[in-house]
Amino acid sequence: MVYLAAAMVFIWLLAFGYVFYLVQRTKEVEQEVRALESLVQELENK
Amino acid sequence: MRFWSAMWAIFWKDVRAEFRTKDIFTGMLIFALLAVLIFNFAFDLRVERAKEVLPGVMWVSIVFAGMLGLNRSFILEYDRGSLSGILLAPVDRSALYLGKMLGNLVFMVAVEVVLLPIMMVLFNVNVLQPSILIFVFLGTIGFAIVGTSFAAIAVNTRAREVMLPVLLLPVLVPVLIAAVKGTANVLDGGTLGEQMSWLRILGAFDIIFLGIAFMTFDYIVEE
Amino acid sequence: MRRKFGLLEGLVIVAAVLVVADMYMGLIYAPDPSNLQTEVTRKAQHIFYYHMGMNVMAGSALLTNFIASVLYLVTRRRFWDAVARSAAEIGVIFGIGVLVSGSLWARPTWNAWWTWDPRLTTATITVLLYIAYLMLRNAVDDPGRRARFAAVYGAFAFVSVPITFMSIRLWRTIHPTVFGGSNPNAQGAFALGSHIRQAFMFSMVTFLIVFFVFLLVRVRLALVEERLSAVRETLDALLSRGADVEPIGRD
Repeated sequence: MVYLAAAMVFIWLLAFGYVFYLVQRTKEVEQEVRALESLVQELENK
Repeated sequence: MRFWSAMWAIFWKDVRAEFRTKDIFTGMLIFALLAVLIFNFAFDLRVERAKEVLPGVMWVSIVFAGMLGLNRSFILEYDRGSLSGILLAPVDRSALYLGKMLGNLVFMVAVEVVLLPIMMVLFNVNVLQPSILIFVFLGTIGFAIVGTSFAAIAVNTRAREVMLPVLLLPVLVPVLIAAVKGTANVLDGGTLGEQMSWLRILGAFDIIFLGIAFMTFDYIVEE
Repeated sequence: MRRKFGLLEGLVIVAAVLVVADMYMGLIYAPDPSNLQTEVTRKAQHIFYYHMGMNVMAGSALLTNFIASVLYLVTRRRFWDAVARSAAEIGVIFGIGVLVSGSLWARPTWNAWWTWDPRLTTATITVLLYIAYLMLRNAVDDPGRRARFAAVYGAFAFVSVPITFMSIRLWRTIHPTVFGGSNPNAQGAFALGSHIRQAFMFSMVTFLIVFFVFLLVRVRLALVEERLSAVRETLDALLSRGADVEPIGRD
């Protein structure tokens, strides 16, 4: 019973950990996209 | 009429091309026979057990030999670039699909025509009864229907030889089960009712997937 | 303007809270079912809340994949491809979870890690089917083509599941199972008292919400990554036209 609870906690930690990682990665990528897009703006305005 | 003539044109092109060299047909046949041979050693198929194992052995050999043939049906075109030529013609894509599918079907049936009598001799089991032949036919049609679609997809991927079995086998499970169990049922002297159940599944599979293949082939070959 | 904490993050928190609550419901609130024989099977039954929950998630995921695949083929909007891909990933992960949790439940209940009963076999084939889907996606480089092929395969795959189930079930009824132990067709049915029923309902709802949240998070990342490659391409095009900026490295 305790094993079950421990296993569930472990699995959910993994799952939400992954989700957290996804959220972080989304933020990083969004940042990069913003940076590149402003660069593109600069180049286009030259 | 454009549709049917296009379909036949593609069909005959493939058949005639194969007729000249016969290398794919021979390859498929030899492969199937080798598979049967290996199964013989793997399962130690003495005469008494042969009847039990024959349906499975037969169908596995047919399926794997069939995959060789399926790959061929699109690889040659893809590599030679003749696919784009065909696609330029203002014809319904489904005609292309049907032509290819019929070609594949005919090649597999040709292999089976040779394979089945040989198996009959090797295993001492009469597989040429009509009730078995109808399972063979419907199963092969199912294989050709789905296989042609997936071969068209797989030929465009990396590792194309690996991709086709990976895509095809899980989807073919109902065909495999129904064909093997139906054949086994006939050999064991089962009731007509049970065989009809298996035939119904095979028939349903064939019809449903023919429909899906028709609806989706345009999307596969649009370029 | 950096978005620190948006709506989606909030939803993730809500999902996490629900999950914790569900663990309480499943493990503590729900009593052991009275009609099961041994202590072990009574305790093991609690797995069922998560087993069914993951079933719900995987099922919703695969249905979502089917709908998204069809919608992609019809509308050609990359959004649907992102949804299809995300749903497939979730479906595979939690499909495997269903199989594993079912196995863990089966061991004490039926004394076997595995049986070849129709539902289990179909579930296994389905997971393999969608692993093949993900492999297909991996094997195609061109994004448009990848989306198209995946969508077609997704359609085939989803339709094949009920037919596969029917064929396996027919196989099982005509040829009864020969391996020993208890009858695998009995689900180890347990009495559905009111607490148990509540725990079940809670589980289903929780897992549905969790599915939705996970899907949204995954889809958002997929969409943003697509924007990234689009921007990179534009940048490359501009640079190769000879703008005087040092080239940006790729990863």
